[in-house]
Amino acid sequence: MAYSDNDRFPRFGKAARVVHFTHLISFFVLFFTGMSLYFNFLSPLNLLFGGASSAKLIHRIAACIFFFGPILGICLNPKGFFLVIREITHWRKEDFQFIVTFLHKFFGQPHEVAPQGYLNGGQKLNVYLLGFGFLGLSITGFVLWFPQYVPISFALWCYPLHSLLAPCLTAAVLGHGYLGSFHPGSGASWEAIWGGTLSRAFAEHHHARWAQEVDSQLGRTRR
Amino acid sequence: MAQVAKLIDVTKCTACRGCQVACKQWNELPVEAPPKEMAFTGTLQSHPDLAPNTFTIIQFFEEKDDTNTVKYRFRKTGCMHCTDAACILVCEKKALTKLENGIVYRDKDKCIGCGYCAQNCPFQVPKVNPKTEKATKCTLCGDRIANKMKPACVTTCITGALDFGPRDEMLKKAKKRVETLQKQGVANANIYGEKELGGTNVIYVLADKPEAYGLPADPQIPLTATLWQQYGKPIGAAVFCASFATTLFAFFLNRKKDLAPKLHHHEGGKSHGV
Repeated sequence: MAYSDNDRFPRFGKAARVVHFTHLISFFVLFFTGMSLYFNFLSPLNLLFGGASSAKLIHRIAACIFFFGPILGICLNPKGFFLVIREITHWRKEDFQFIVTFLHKFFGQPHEVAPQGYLNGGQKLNVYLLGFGFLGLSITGFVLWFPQYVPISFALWCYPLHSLLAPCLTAAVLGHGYLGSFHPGSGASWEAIWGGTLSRAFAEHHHARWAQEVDSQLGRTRR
Repeated sequence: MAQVAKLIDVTKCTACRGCQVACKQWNELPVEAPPKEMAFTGTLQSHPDLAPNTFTIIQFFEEKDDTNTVKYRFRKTGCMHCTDAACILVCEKKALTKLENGIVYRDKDKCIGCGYCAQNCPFQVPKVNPKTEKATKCTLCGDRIANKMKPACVTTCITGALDFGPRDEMLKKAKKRVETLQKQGVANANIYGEKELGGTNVIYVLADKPEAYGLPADPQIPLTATLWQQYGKPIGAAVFCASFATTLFAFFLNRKKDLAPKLHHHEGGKSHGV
C-alpha cells in the first residue's frame, strides 16, 4: 500500500466512541445536578431539573450511566481495554519527556515532542487521573446513596472524599476537554473520538512511534 | 432569649411510654409500618429505633444482676439539641439551624433529604423519610414553647422524669438530683449534656455511666465532618476555580496561534511544535 499524506490512522472503535460520549454526557449531568444539590447558593439550578427531588433522581440515574457505561464498553471491547492497560503500565523515557514539556504544550510554547506510542505520556497520566477519579467517585457516590450497607466509619469518610474528588475530576476533565477539543495544537484529536481516525500529520506529531507501527502493519511504505 | 432545656431523669422513668404517645399526637405522626423483623426479639422496647415518624422512644437496656434477676434501664431517646451540632455543620442546604433558645431547628422546606445529618449525628438521631425525602427529628416542640407551653412529652409525663425550663435552672435541678442519688447510694449517678458537644439542650440525669444507656461517653463531631467542611470543601472549590481559570487563560492565550501539527517527513525522530 502506498504511503500518502492523507492517510488516516484508526484510533477508536465505535463502542469506545459511544461509551466516551455517553460517559461525557453523564458526567456533565452529574456535575450540574451535583453542584445544585451540594452548594446552597446554587439551589436555583435545581429548577432546571424540576426541583431538588428530581435533581437527586437524575443525579442517581446519571451515576448509573456514568458507572456502568465504561463497564459495558470494556465488555464490548476487552481487547481495547487491555491495550490501554498494557500502555499505561509500560512507561518509556519518552513518556516522561512528554510530561516534562506538558506546560509548554498547554500554554502553546515551542517545545520538542519525543516520539510517543499509542498513548503519549500525557494521555497515560490522564488515564490514571480519570480512572482513579472515576472509581473513587463511583464508590463514594454509591456509599452516599446506600450508606446503610457499609460500616458507618467508612461511610463517613466517603462524604469528604466524594466532595473532594468531584472538583478534582472536573479539573482533570476540563484540561482533557480543552486539550482534546479546543487547543490549536492538539484539538484535532477530536477527530479520533468523533470519527475514529487521526490524520497523518497529527499521528506522526503526537504518536510518532505508534504511527510508524501502524504504517508498517498496513504496509504503507514511503515513496 | 434564654436557653431552654429538657431534663430527662432516667431514675424516675417507668417506661410507661406516655411521652411517645404524646409526641405522636402533638406532631400528628402516623404509626410506622411494622418492619418485617418486628417479631418479638426478646425485648419489651416498642420500636427498634427512632424512625421518620417516631421522634422519641424509650430504649430498654436489660441485664441480669448477680441474683439472676433482670434489671431494666430506660432512656428516653431523641434529639439532644447540641450546641456543637454535627447535623448543622454538614447540612449543605442550611435546613438545620441553632435557634437562640437552643433548639436545633429543621426547616422542612429547605431539607432535600440527603441524609448527611443522619449519618453524621453522634447519636444517630435524624432519620430520612424515603417517601417525603425529608429528614426528621424531635423539634423540642418549638411551636409549643413559642406559645409558652411545655413540650408535649413533658406535659404528659406522670412520674416527673421529664422537666422543661431555662437551661441553667434545669442544670441546677439535675445537679441537686445527682447529689440526692449519690447520697442514696447510686454512686455512678451523673449528668449528661452539661458540657458534651458544647452543652446540649436535652440534659440527662443518669444512674450509671453513659455507655450503660447507649450513649457515647465522649460524643464528638466526626473528624470526617470537620475535615470535609473546613478543608475538603474549600480545597475542592479552589481546585475547580484554579483549573477553570487556567484552562480559560490557556484558551485565550492560544486561540490565534498556528499550532496545528504539520507533516515533516522525518523518520520518527523528535518533532517540534506543540
